[in-house]
Amino acid sequence: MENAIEVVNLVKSYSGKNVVDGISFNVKKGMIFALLGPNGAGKTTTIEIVECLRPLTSGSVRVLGYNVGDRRDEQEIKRRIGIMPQEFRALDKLSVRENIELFSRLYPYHSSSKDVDEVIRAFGLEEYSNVRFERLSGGIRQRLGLAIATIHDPEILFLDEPTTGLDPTSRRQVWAMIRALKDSGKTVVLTSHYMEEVEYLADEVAIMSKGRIVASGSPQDIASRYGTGRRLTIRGYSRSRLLASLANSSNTLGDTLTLSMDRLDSMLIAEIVDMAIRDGLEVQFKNPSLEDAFLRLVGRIDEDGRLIING
Amino acid sequence: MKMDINSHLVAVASLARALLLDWLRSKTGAFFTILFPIMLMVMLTLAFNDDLNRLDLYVQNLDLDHDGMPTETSSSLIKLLSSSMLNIKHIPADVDAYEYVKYSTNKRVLIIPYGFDASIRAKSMEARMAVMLSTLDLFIERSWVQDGVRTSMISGMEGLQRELALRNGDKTASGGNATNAPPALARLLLIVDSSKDREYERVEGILASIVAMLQQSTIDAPDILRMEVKDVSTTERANYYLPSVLAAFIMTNGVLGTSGIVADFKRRGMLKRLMSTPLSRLQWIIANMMAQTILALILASVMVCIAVIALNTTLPNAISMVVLAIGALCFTGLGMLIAGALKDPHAITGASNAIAFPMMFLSGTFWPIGSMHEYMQSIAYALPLTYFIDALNASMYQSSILALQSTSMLALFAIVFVTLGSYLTRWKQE
Repeated sequence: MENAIEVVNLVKSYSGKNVVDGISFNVKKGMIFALLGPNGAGKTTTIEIVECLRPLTSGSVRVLGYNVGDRRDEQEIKRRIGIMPQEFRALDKLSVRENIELFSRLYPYHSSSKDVDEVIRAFGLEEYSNVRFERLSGGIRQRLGLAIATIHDPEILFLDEPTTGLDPTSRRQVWAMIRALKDSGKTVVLTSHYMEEVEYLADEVAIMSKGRIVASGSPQDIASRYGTGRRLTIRGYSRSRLLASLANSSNTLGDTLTLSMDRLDSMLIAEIVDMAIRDGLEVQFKNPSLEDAFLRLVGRIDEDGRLIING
Repeated sequence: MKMDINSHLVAVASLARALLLDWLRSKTGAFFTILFPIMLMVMLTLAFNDDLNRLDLYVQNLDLDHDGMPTETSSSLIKLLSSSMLNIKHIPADVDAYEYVKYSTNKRVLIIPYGFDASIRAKSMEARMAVMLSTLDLFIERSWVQDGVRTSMISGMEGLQRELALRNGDKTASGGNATNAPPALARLLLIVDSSKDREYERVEGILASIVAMLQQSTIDAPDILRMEVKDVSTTERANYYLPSVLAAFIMTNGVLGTSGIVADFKRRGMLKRLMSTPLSRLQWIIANMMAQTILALILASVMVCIAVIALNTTLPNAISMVVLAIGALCFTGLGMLIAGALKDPHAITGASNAIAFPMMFLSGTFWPIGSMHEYMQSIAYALPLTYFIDALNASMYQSSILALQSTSMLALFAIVFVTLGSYLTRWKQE
């Protein structure tokens, strides 16, 4: 499959400090690629370089065969990509239709009113067509953001945290739209903090930490390679004296005890589960997940729920 | 997929339209852009109108005797004025009455010139002699007196006239020619600014009746005393405020509007969103300039219509529209320059306010620059708004040639601001 994006040894530095430190990755055409990383990992800088919004320090980036950094090529790239920034904003006093029309006219061979109607319908915005942007809810705004990102029929879509702040229903609606975009042949580059979102949507994932890519592959690959294996979690373990004797600082978080099932024999597991159930504790079995892999690769969660980045 | 000229124009026009709509649909935007300037213009015009009951008259008495005391006739005149409807106030003899009227409001000054008393007395004596001589001629004609008596009576009266003149300080009266020159007409000078003073005609009428009364009390003879009126105004009152308020608001819209849009777009990520489209930095700048120029022309049209209908001003010519457009470009350029030079959106807003508001007060928007302190005047002439107001004033109410110099200066500022603004506007993140 042909590459839509090729990043080779990309470096971006500020005052001599590399915030993107020689990363390389490819995004194949027609796939959903997710870039993950904690805040400050360099993923937004990387994406903005690919989007031609920031100059690179060294390395090379090619988008659809055009070179980022070359002025003429950048104009071509901008015509062929669509962007939905995090918490999409448009002109407050303009209606949904007017905002779509405005953005459509910023591209060559701008869309006719029929195309605008089609996009409005495709993203379920008919009833909001004449509503001003300032009066839209968060979910509708994100839908409008997606509509605007696709109005000029781009080949690659960059979606930055597309579902942040949305309720579960709106989030699933946006997921369905992203899947539909992929099905129509678009390449999608996604950044997200929601692991379940990435697991659900992405074909390929790259995890960044401190300006470097620390893992890449499919979500399942990463989960099995870097995840913690199958786990048993027991909530409220401190109420059981025996269970409390199994606890140490590495396998507890708050009042939750997490045990790796790969390291325990099945008889002991059965005994622990039996004891926990008799004491009325909540017991869960978990398969390896992307979230575990992510946490193991970039850091750990402290007792207050904060992400502590490794190293 | 090349972008042709038509697509470029469509992109710029669409963005300009969107910026304009976004601005005009904002209630506060529309209030401060359109309604507030109109209200201010009407308020200023009305505020500096006279109170109907206030008939102040400033009197500058220059007719003083050797001891610096007012002469007898000038004192009598002032007493007469004080007993009328006029509220008499005095201004010192060393004040320039023309400047006083020109650069202040509700002021009208009556100047009693030096020699007023002497002229009145001489003219009065001349009139009395004429009456006596015509009476004497009648007596001679009827042979009631001899011709020689007439000669000695004329000689006696001329002697008396010379003595009076000497007593009043007229040194030429002692010379042989004094009696030959006819005495000068006594004159009063009323200085008004009709653009600021709607009551000056009423005051003039009262003064005319007082002058007539004075003539009658002196001797019932015409042409002893004459009052002249000097109007120092160059424009109608509303004509003064229309260009200055218009210019000031085009300036604030340009500077605050443009920098505000850039700051807001930066803060909300809209600018980044626009940068990600094929829209170029130049198109972004042109779109902003188009939006501000159209806004300036809308504001000008509405304000002019209201000023013409409600305040009876004259209709501005087409050249002033060109000046308006240059002004809008100049201040949009300044807004772009501020927004380009500063990264922080809050700093952009603060800096724009810090530049726009002092400029509004220092450039003769609300009062003439001539009334300001000298060093403030030199600051005023370094500010583009001063030239914008001058150019608008000249193009609207004087002549296109007069407007040329200020318009050239304004255009120069526009070129500098737009060039620097374009240079400093970054179309990429760092």
